[in-house]
Amino acid sequence: MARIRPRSTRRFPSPRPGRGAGQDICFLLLLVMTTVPWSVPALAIEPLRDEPVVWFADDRSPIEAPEFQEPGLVPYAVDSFVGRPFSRFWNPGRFFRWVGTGDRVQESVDINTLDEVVNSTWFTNRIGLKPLSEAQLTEGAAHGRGFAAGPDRSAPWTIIGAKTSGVTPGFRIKDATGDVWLFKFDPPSHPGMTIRAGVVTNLLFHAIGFNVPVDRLVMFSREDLVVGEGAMMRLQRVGKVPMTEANLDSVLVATKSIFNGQYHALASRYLDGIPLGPFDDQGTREDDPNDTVRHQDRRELRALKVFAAWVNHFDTKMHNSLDMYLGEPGAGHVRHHLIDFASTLGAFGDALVKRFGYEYGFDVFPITGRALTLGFVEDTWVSLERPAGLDEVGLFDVDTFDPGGWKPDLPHSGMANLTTRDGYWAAKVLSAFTDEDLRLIVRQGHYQNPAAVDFLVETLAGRRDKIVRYWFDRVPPLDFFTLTEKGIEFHDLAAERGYASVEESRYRFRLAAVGSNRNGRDDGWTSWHETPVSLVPLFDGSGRLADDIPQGDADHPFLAVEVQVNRGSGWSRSTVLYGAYASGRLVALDR
Amino acid sequence: MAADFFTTTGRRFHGRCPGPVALVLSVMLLVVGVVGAVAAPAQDLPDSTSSFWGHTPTTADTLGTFEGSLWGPVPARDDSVSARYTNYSRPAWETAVMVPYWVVGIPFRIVYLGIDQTVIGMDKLGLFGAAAAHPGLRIPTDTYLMPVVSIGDLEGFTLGLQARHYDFLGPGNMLFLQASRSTRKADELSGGSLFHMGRDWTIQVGGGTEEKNLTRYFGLGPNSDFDNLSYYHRRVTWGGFELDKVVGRKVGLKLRTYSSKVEALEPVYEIDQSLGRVHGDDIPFGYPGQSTGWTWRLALYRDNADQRGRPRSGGFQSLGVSLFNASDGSDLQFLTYHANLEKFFSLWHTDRTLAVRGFFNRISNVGNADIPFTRLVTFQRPDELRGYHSLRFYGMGSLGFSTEYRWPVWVVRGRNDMGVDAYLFSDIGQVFEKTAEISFDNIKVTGGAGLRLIKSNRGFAARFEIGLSDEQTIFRLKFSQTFQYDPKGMLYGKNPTKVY
Repeated sequence: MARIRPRSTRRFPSPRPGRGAGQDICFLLLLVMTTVPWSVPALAIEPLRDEPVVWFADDRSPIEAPEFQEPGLVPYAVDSFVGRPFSRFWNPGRFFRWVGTGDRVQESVDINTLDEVVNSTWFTNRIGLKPLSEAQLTEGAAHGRGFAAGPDRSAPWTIIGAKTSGVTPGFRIKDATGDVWLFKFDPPSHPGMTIRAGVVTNLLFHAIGFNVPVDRLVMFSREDLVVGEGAMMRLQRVGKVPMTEANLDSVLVATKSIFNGQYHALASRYLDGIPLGPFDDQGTREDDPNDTVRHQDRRELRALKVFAAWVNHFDTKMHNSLDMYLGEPGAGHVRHHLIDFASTLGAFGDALVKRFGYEYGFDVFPITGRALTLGFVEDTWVSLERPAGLDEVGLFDVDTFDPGGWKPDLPHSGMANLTTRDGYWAAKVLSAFTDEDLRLIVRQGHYQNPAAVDFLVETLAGRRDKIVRYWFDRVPPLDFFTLTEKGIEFHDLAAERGYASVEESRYRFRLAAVGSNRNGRDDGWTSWHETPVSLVPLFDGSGRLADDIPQGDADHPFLAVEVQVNRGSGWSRSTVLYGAYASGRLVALDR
Repeated sequence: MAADFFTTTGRRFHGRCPGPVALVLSVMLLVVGVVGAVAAPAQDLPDSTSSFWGHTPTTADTLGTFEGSLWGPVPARDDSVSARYTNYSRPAWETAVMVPYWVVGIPFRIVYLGIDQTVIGMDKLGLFGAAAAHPGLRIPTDTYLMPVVSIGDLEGFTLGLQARHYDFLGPGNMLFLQASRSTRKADELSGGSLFHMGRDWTIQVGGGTEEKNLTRYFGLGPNSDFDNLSYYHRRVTWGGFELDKVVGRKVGLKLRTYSSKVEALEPVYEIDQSLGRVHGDDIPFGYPGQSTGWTWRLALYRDNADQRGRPRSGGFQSLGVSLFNASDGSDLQFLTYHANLEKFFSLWHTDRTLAVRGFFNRISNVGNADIPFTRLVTFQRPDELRGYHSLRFYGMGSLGFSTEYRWPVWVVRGRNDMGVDAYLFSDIGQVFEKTAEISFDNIKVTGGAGLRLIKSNRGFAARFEIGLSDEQTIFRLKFSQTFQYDPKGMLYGKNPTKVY
């Protein structure tokens, strides 16, 4: 098993310390301030290796089950609003890196040499790498597991617990197969809003690749429920009381989640395994030896900013995640899940809040700006309104959505580390959702008004398009290079997925034989070749490398293919692919 | 290997190293890092230089779980395509620039660690569990605690505690206690309770004692000289009750009666500037001395403001008259008339509001004794000129006009939820001994800016403001406001002698 550092780790030449530490530090600071910002992008990166591309993280080694731990919301919020942002703001390393590269941190850790996130206990590549079937899209985490229809209906569901405190009431039920499901209802002020949003976003996030519970929208009658023996009910300011059929009736009536004579609820199946509490968005879990990558440096958690922006999942606090221990004690490992997507697609509790997605709960810079402008400047999000006539849809639109400026309610350490390449990767995944995919998923919310489905599909597509254009403008979307009999073919995702004109897109490439350090021979690169198609031809008629293709040697065992695209406004930044002459492998991709 | 070194040390150093140790270690790290980087061996190269290009990849390389992947076939999970990822190393240049950050940050980290651990400890005690029900810190007796903090140049730093017990002896009732102590003997101990009697009646009972060792006195009338600043020790003790009756839609009647004793004594501090020394030739009636008596006050009010947190329409109006009867054997008896008119106007954009207020107070002596200066009208909350201290002017009457332009700067979940509004204000007004003194020449103009902390649509929580006048710049932190002054004064232990 290989043990690897991320390929993008850069080394920087460092001045030698001299006689006195103070002088040295001053000297170092001066040197760094004057040189690092300009030299960061040009410095060497991880060497090329002719090895299979890594697609899986080795993070399933057997471990003892960690202890359950769940920090309180208030301490976490204080840390998220104060400690962590303060620490990031004053961190000089982030500042210098930002001046030099435009990103505040190094690239993500859990990526392979092709700039893709590897499969792990955190993430599984799904729609980003290949189209999903209708069943995969619409069943999500239930696909292939027999839960697609929700709890088993061969017998009435037995309520084993209930709560009425908080904004929304809920039950815990056990079905005939013994599976435990949590039933959640809408707040009485917005029947049909949060439960449908929860189901839809759960499916979207599953298709993206996150581990999520099985969340299904269920419709049932009063006869489908029986109160189990010993079931308790938690009442606000009273505490736990025995649950009766009578107070079940009163709770059901109070939900107002009744459509065409049936109750609608979000049924969330309890995750398999032993719950270990939520995972923090910063640091690692000390008692999980497999958790070796700081969470803020995991690409899927950094890119959560892009994914969450898409559906306005502002409530990404750590308490909306859950670690589960899978396997027998001592022989299992931890799997990391995102849970509870009810506050998405513009839904939130009993009072909809326009600020969500546009500012943190406490956001120093907008607050200062508003104070200094004396109230003469209005915030963009103030104009956000619910779609007329669609009671099941919250505050969700395309016009006021800013893909670069979206923020969760609590600052998130992973999101704060989002780099341009992380953002591009996330946009690439989102661009794989077709409008039809979205429609299939939104229908799973069982919206009562067909116009709500149309609106949500259009809005999700519109926000997706904004996100994709934003990131594709920053990173040329030349991707998925494959070696074929014609040469190296690649995908221009912008042209293929409708974000750029195929006719107006032209490409150019050049080649070089390079060493593992990416340096070429003295004869360097070939001249640029322009082409209207996304293909770098390499072979002659006999299937061998053409004569004008640089040949490798012992010191230069890799072929570098640098590609750019021009859509009428000049040539883009380069995307460079590296292949090994010896094995024919495509071993690395630089953006 | 340099990589291993960086990985290990990078984790150890991440924000945890004591300053001097960090300095030494970072220099060592830098040296080793440079050496390690220079000395790193050349990368291994493939043994074969023969080219496979021109052949499609073999099935051994390609068959796997990702048939149909956009990258082509992706192999199945096995050791050859799996890796254990570890955190990246911190490059030497970054370690170098981080050293000052680590060193300078040590005191901040210590402070924050204290805050963090305190919050965690409070959370473990469950003190944040019911924060949404009422403001403040909930303690096991279902009582909510709020700190009392204020800073004044004469009072010094005041710290105290408010305790509110809701549903006291019945739903909707409340018990309130407050105690505060200042660094310069400006202490307060007060309390009150509110009881609902039926739908329309409430009764408040309250009492307390309040003293200020350094209370300002500049002279009587609108033209008292700022240079004649002097101090006296003022002590007030009171107790009484108030009946409130709803008589119509948003209209109510208040009948308040209370006994009060106001003392004016020699100060302990600033003896050189005591009232007696500075105003030796013109000592006001009642100094030193005390005045004890009963006050009866009847007021009619109308409150049709749309809320107390961020009102943007409606207003608050009140008319009142009070009668003071001495109970200390003197023939002191006087009437005080009070009128207050407030109005809120919604402006451009969201929740931009203009608040305007006018007030008028007038004392009419109906007894046979002079009125002690401690019972005169002055600018005290809510009838403030916020660029001046509250006891800057004394007179037989006062009038004023205030405007506040407010705009939201922090809106947590909408105008009905907690947040902060900023405001610019202007107060103009004067005191007068006789009506003939009311003139533009005697009008004082003040202005300033502030921040209002709004706890919810239930009300206002605190304000921090800067008041400017031709004499002073005043910083205030208060838990009461000029507009919509909380009418439940007895309940909250407010000194009733300040309100006319």
